[in-house]
Order: sequence, then C-alpha cells, then structure tokens
Amino acid sequence: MIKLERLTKTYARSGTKAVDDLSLEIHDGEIFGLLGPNGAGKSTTIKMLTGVLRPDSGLVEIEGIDMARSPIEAKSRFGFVADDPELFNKLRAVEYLNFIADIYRVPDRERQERIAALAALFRIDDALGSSIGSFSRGMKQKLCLVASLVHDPRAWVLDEPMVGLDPQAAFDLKELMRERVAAGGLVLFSTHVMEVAEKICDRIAIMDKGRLRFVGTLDELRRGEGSSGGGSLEELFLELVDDGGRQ
Amino acid sequence: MTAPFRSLVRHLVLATFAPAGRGARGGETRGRTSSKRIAKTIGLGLLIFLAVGQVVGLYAYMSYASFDALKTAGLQALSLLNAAISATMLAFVLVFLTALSTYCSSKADIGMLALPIKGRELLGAKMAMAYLVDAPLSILIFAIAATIYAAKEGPGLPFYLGAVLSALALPLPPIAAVYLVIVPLVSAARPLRNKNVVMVMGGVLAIALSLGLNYYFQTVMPRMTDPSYVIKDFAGPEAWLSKLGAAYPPALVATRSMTASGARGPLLGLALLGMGLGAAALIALALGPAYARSLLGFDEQRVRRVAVSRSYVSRAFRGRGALASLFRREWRLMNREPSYFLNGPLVIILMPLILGVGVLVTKQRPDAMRDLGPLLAGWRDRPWPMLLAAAFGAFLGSSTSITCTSLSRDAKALRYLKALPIRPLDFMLAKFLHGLAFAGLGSLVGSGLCSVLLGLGAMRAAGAVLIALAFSAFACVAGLWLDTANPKLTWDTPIAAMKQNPNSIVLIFGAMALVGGLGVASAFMGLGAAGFFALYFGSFSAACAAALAAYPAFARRRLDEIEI
Repeated sequence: MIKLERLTKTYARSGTKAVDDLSLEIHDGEIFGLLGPNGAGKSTTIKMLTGVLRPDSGLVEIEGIDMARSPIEAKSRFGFVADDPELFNKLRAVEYLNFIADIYRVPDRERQERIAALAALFRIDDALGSSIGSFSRGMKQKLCLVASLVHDPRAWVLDEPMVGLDPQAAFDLKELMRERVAAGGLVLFSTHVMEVAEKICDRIAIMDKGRLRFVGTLDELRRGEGSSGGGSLEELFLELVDDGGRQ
Repeated sequence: MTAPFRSLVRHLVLATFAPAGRGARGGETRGRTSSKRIAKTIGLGLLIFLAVGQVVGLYAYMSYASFDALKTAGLQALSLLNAAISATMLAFVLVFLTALSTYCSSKADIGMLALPIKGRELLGAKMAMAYLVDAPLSILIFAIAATIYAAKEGPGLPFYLGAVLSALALPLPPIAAVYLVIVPLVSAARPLRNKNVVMVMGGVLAIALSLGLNYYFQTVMPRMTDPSYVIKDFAGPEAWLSKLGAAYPPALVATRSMTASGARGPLLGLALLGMGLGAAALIALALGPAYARSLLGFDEQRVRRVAVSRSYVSRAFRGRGALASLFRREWRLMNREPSYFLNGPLVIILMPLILGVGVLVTKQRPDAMRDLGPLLAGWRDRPWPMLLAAAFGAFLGSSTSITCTSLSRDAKALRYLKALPIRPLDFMLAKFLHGLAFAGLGSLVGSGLCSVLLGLGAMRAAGAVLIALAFSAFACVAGLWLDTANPKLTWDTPIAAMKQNPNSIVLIFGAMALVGGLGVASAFMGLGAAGFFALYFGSFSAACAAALAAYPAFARRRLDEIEI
C-alpha cells in the first residue's frame, strides 16, 4: 500500500505551492490513475512519493515504510518509470539493465529470467546490445519499463507511461498492469489520456492547482455533487477542473 | 540581408553569449541572482584575460622586438605584413575549429530545416557567428602590431583608417575558405556527419594547434632580440614572410592600406573589406543548399538488432555490488562522451606532450642546456627536484577536475537516480573514486615523467609521486564539495555541464595558486627531502581524510535539498 498524508510542497526557488495538503491511499490490488491538467501537481506528487523531492510537511509511506526515515528501504519497494526516458544515452541497454539490477541487488538468475521475459514482451530483446542513444523514444520508454520491473516490486509507479509507445506496446503495458494487480500488486500512474484512465483504472484522483479535487471510482465521479450524471471521463474531468478554476 | 538571416544570427548570438537564466524573474532571489551573475561575469572576464593574455603578451613582445630589429634595416613595414599574415593564419585555425564544432551543434540546428529558411541563410548565419566568435582575437593580434607601429612611427589619419578596415577584413577570407573546405568534406564523407567524430577531430586539431603554437613560441622567442636573425627570417630572399606575402595577396593589400599615402590607403582597406564580404557571401550562396542537405540525418544512429540467445542472457546479465556498478557507470558515461573526455581526462595526455615539446626545444639549444646543466647538478642533493616533480604531478592530477562536475553531469538523470535505492554515500563515493582514478594517473604520469627528466633516484621519485597523489586526492574531494554545494543542474547540451561550470575553474586556479604558493614558501623552510615529504604528504593526506569524513553528511543533506 502507498500512503500519502497531508503532503505539502512549495518550490524554494519559484515560491510556487505545487502540492497543498494532499492525502491519498493506494491499496494493493488496484490500478490508480492520477489525473490533472498541466501544473496540477501530479509530477510533484510522484516526485515526493518516490523520494526525489522532500515534502515541506506530510508523510509518505510505501508498504508501511516511512520514506523520510528509511528512504533506501522504501525505494526498494517500488518500481519507477520517469516521464522522461532520455537517460544514459551513452550506455548500452544491457549495461543499463545490469546497473539497475545491481542497485536493487537482484540475483543473477532472477535478473536473467525477468529481463529476458520483459524484453521479449516489449520486443526490445534483439536490441539489448545496442547503445541507448540509438533507440527511438518509444524504445527508450520500453527499456525504462523493463528496468522498473527488474526487481519484481509490489508497487509500480509510472509518470506518463503511455507517451511514445506504439499501440501494441501500450496494449501490452495495460495488460501487464492488470496482471500485476491481479497478482496482488498495485499500480499508480499519472496520465493526460482520459481514455486510458477510463478503461483501466479502478480508482482515480483528480488534482488541480496542487489540491485534490476528487478521489474515487468513475461511478462515484458520475454520481458526484454537481455532476450532470453521465458522459465520459473527459467531460467529467473538464467539468470538475473548470469548476475549480472558477472557484 | 534578409529577415530570416538577421533573426538566425540574433538567435545564434543569444544562444552562444547570453548568460543562463537571462530574463528570469525572481522576487526575493533577484538580488542574490544578480550578484551571482556579476561575479560569474567578472570571473569569466578574468578567465578570458588569462587565457588570451599569455598569447597576446607573447605576440606583443615579438612584435615589439621584430619592429626594432627590422627598423635597423629600414624594413619596419614588414612588421605589418607579419601581423596581417599572423592574423589571417590565426583566424583560419580558430574558424576551422569553430566551424567543425558548430557545423551541427544541436538538434535545434536540424530543427531549422523544418522552417522556411534557405540554405544560404543557414550557412550565412553560421559564418557570421564564426566571425563574431573568432575575429576578435585575430583583430587583436593585428591591432597590437599596428599600435606598436603607430606609436613608433607616428603616421597620419589614413594609417588608422586603413588599419581599422584591414583588421575587420582580414578574418573574412579565412572564414570563406574554411567553409569552402568543410561543407563539401562533410557532405561527401558520411562518417563526418556524426557529432562524436567531429568533436574528436576538433579535439585532435586543437591539440596539434596548441603544440604547434608552443613549439613556435619556444623556438622563436629567444631569437627575437637578434636583429640579424629577424631580418634574415623576415626579409631575406628565402624568408617565409616574403613567400607567404607573395602567395596571399590580401595580406599585402592590408599592409599597403596602412603604408600607402593619402586616400589610397583607406580605399585599399575598403576594397579589402568589400572583397572579404563578397567572398563570404559567394560561399554562402553557392554552398548553402549543400550545407542544408548535409544536415539531413546528421548524428543519426542505427539500432543493431541481434537475436538474443539464452547463453547471451546468462553471459551479459551478471551482478556486482552497488558501488562497483555506480563506478562503472561513471567511467563509461565520461569516457564515451567526447565532450567530457576532451575536457577532462585528456589533459593527462596533453600536458606531458607540451612538456615534451619544451624539452625538445631546450635540447635543440646548446646554450640552454649549458645554462641548465650546472643548475641541475647543484640541485642533485637538494629537495627541489623532488618538489618540482611533485608539483607537476599535483598540477596534472588536479587539472583533470573530474569531480568538479560530477553532480552537474548527472543533472538530467538525477531525478531518476534519486528514486532508486542508492545510498548517497555510494553515489558520491563512486564519483570520488572515478575522479581519483584519473587524478592518480595524472599524478603518476606527471611526477614520474618529471622525475625521469630531472634524474631523481627511486626514493625521491616515489616521494614526489606520493605527494602528488595526496594533493590530487585532496583536490578530488575539494571538487566534490564544490560541485555538491554549487552544481549546474540546468543545461541543454552535455558539454555545458562542464564548460559553463565555474567549479572546474575555481579548482584548477585554486590548485595552481596553492602549488605556486607552497613552492615559494618551501624556499624559506630549510627542510630536507624527508622533511618536505613528511610535511606535504602528511598535510594533504590529513586534509583529504578530514574533508572526506565530513563529506557524507553534507552530501546527504544537499542531495535531499536539491529540487529538480
């Protein structure tokens, strides 16, 4: 389980309050979507959750481990896919995957089996010996997906994971998310693509201007106060965010 | 000039010269940012002054001495011809390096192809930029000789007009010539359309240039006070100056523009400027389309697809400790990025080569060896040769300055790396060990070579190497502290993490000042070799250990604070 409690973050340099008193719980066995317009605070939330940013106040717990107190242990419990796959272009894919597996202390046999299976799933197994710099954006994204699962974490955190993926890879990723959740894991991802969230998320959170505007299932959103009661997630999202803007 | 051309030049000027964060607004931090920027500007000015000052100073001395020597034969106008040829050659070499490194310097250059800009405007803008970057040094070299001539001869106004016009005109033909060579070369040779290849070529040429200049100055300088040598070398029938002057008419025209009487001089200068501009425009017009075509697919890489077997997987994926893995990552990322390699580890190769040139020139001069021999013999039983070897090793070891940019180079990946379960101590220790590996090599090469040259015994040579190692290790920790306290976390191209990072400059100059200061202090200490070894090896080892011990807590706090 991932627990965020009363998280607040103001960037020191710009003075912008990016996240304001945010509390969330993401349970095992669910796919959770974090939605919001640009500048809503999704990436800042994910950065605090993954230990990249220190919150001004509040608590982050991964499987009951406090990120502030035991960051190494907490970080070992999740797999992370960043929003920008432009990493280590001078390394070969095999070197990058070995590096990540070393950091997570994955035994040889396990890393070999998992990497072979995941690389085959995302169809980059024949490019593992190549330099990452020669990869397309989509291939880099696939490589990051493989790397994030090399230690078989229960929690999987992904920042805008669909960007750059071809339809087949996007489909495979969604299937993989369902498989991991069915096996008792949890998936938390941020996205701008409403259709993706609508199709695969068990619950969603909608953020706007650093605050949480809604948490729950799509049905709960449809039944919610002020909602017209029907329509797609996109329409409901726009209604909600628009309301927030006017308020 | 067309509007797109003007906009392109403006864009390139801003991208090259505008300080980072230009136009940024920040309420409370504005004062601090502004004072930081002023400090950076002053620092950069000092750096340029130091870098250019030495060459300019040597050239000024040469011009002064050659003028006096030539005047004895009434040939002082030849000093102007010498200046015109020197300015042209310097412009050619500098523009060649600039043209090579900026041929397609970023993805933005390729992105320009999607805009309705003509090839001739793209190439013209590149040429204009090369002029703005490289012409000032060429103009300065020419101005030095012209100023010496003017101070000694007191010419009239036409001289000054001709000098200004010629100074502005002289870098233009080299720019046209360089692009006349480079555009067809890159267009024809597919391997050259690769940023790494181009950068390595530029690095090798730059090394050759620095070695050539070093050799030239060391060979010519001692003879400049001998008028017979200067007259023979500048004005004799076999003189290189006469041959070059005859082969390159613009240099002669530039000289005449200053020595011709009345309005003829400035008119010649104006004609030279017109011809230079015309030549550059002609090249831009003729080769612009070819230049634009050569940008297509520049730096394109292909994925090598190889079917993976079970044995490949079990061979390729093998574990090692986190620290060892982090160290390998540092090693690979630095050595595979030419801009990092050229600005870091390469100095270990370059500096001994420059030392080698110095030794070669000195050995060619019997008088120098005659003067140096007794001095070295007198030194044999004193501690100075050991300290000299230690100082060179310390300088070489610290000048790689790899740790000064260690965090800055990782700026793009830091956001991801911070989400991994990496202990800050392992992360920074890997950076320290990586820096130390090269610093150690530099110390060993520097002190070792110097020990051989000075004929040190094994014990003293080992002492020199150990002092240099201790100093370099201390410099590595200092660099790590500097870059952890003040990393450059926003940059567009990898080279900016090093080139726009003041930490390296602070460390290199700081280390030079420390080595120099200690050298002077040593002269007054009255210690023997063993005493100096105990003092310096002990002090630097202790300082290094203390700085290392205090570092992890600082690094943990800083890494935690960094907002990316």
